[in-house]
Amino acid sequence: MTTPLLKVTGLRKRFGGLVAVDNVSFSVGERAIVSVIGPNGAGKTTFFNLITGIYEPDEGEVLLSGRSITGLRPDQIAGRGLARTFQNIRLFAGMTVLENVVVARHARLKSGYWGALLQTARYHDEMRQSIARGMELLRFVGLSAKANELAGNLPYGEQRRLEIARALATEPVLLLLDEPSAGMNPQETEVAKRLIQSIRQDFGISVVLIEHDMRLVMSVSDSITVLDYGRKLTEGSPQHVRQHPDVVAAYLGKGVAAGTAATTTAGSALR
Amino acid sequence: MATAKKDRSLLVVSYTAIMVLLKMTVFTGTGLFDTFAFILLFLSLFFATDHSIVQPWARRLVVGGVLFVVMPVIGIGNTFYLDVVTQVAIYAVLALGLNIVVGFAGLLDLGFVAFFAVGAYFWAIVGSTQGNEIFGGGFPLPADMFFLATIVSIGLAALAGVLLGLPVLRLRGDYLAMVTLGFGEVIRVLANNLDKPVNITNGPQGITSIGQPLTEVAAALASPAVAEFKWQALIYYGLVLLALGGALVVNKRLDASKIGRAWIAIREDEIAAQAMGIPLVHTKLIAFATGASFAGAMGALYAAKQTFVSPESFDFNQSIGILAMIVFGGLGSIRGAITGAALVTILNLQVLKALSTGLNNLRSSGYEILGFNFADIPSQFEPSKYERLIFGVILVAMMLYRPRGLVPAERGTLVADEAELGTGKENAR
Repeated sequence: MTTPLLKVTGLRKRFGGLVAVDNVSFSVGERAIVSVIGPNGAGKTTFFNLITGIYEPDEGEVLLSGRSITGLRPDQIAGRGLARTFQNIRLFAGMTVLENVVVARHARLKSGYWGALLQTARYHDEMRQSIARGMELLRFVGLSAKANELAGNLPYGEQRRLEIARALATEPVLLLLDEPSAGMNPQETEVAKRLIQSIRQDFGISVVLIEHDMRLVMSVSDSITVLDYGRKLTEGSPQHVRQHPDVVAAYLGKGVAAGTAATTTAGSALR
Repeated sequence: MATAKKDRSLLVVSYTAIMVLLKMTVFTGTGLFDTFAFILLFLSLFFATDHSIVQPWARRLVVGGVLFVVMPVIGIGNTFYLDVVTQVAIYAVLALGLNIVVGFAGLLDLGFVAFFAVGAYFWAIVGSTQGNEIFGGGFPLPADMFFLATIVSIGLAALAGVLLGLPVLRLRGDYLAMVTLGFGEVIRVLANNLDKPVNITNGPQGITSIGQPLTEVAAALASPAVAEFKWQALIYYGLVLLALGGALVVNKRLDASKIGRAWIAIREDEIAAQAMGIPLVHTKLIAFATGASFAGAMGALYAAKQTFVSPESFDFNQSIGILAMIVFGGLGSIRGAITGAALVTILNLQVLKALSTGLNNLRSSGYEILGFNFADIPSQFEPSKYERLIFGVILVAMMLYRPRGLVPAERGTLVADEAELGTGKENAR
């Protein structure tokens, strides 16, 4: 067995009396697309925040490529190759689209303060490369024509795509997407789905997504992890999760689950 | 991107020429109208630096001509004007420094003048006999050590910035503002009280007879036509221009670099910035230290120019004044910071003073209109007495009508080549 790209063991986080994430273990292989689903308040975003260092876990360990990133600061974790997007879009609204992408290359640039003050050759080289790379990423998400517009002026769907381009600019080995299709219509969701698939294809990296759109989840994921009340309910292939009675119960309530699980699949019930 | 506007180069050049002629021939004094003529002349610099309407050749002609030829000539004739411009430039550099902290990085600093005080007191102590009180002897240092001392002042102020920043930069918004306000007051109170047990700052009396740099140059140039003190004023004018130029270059280069983008990113969204690999504390410390170092340099220059420092020069009002400048100008805008500094300083030094003088003249004239004698106008009406009120009114008006300042900050330090924009093949999605 090779070491998985991301390995989370026994992660636990308590907010006062509430255990938001309770003893969750989780792993992601190379070039995998994994979804984390669960009802609202199940602890999915908290789980992301724990992995990316925004919260510090009470217990448990997070390994990225076999090295522990538990307790590191978010910027250090980003430097190790873990990038993310946010459920409520957090773009730098006052910066241009291109700047949003280039700013995310911060940790990848060698020349810093003095390089900029003295305008060294390396500084100029890195600037040129950064802009070229930024434009490449914008083309990848289909936003290169809007490079010089303010990010805050983009329509909603494009802001989501820009967040993905920005996260990719950090040169991650693993990308965490927090509800990439939230608020999108079916066509936009279809675009998002193809984008997620081509992230794996073109960049050769793994993607973890939190998502409520079951059609999207079922069609892109290699594996799905279900959280409920902070605990892991089950994990496995889309087929497995769709038919799991606990999953149906978590989404629709115990009574419905008892009546439907035998005859119909959770997947169709959830749609 | 700014839409292409009409080219106004010729208009701006001719405006400048007319103002120069008027100022040099008709309005040569310091009365109310002379002051306005001077301000209109100064305004040419503002127009000429608007990149969207003025060509580079016209900009260079106007800025170079006004700063390097016209101002010195006017100033030799009447050093008051040179003083005003020097003061404007000092405040412009301070505003540029604070603009990095508040405008770029979004860290509200209400005690910025503390760093100014650090620089000023450093040169005041080593550039006068005050140094002997601490170190026993060997002071004042030769006046031309000023330049070396300025570099040390920059370092000291930056160090003070880091020392203040380390514990407080974890705070956000209002909390940070409160702590910096406190820090500003602490420095002032220290300056006020550090005259015992060891006399470091000479307390409320302040430090006098501070050495001035390049006095021998001024002495050598002195002639019956142009006295020594005029040359000295001109030397300070040159020094502050140099400092302003340096501050501008540093500001622009940092703004366009990854550090500048990281500052803006932190200002826009700390959590997202951190998740994109930007170390918060480190990046904020750089902002604090850089901003403070500008103030440190200006402090040393200020001490030399005034030859006197006292705690009064570094009170809370000064911090607020500099903050008002960058709010007027537009937070995060380099041209705005300089515009704001010029506006506030000229309003303070010239307009209010000129209006007060005008009022006094009116009063002493003793004219009577409809039974009201001008001599009865109460002296409380003097505009310079409600300077703060006027600032307050302007600030409120700005917030209502131009919340982003006179020269709103524009993003666009990073522009993809036209070719890349035009021919970029979109992923059809």
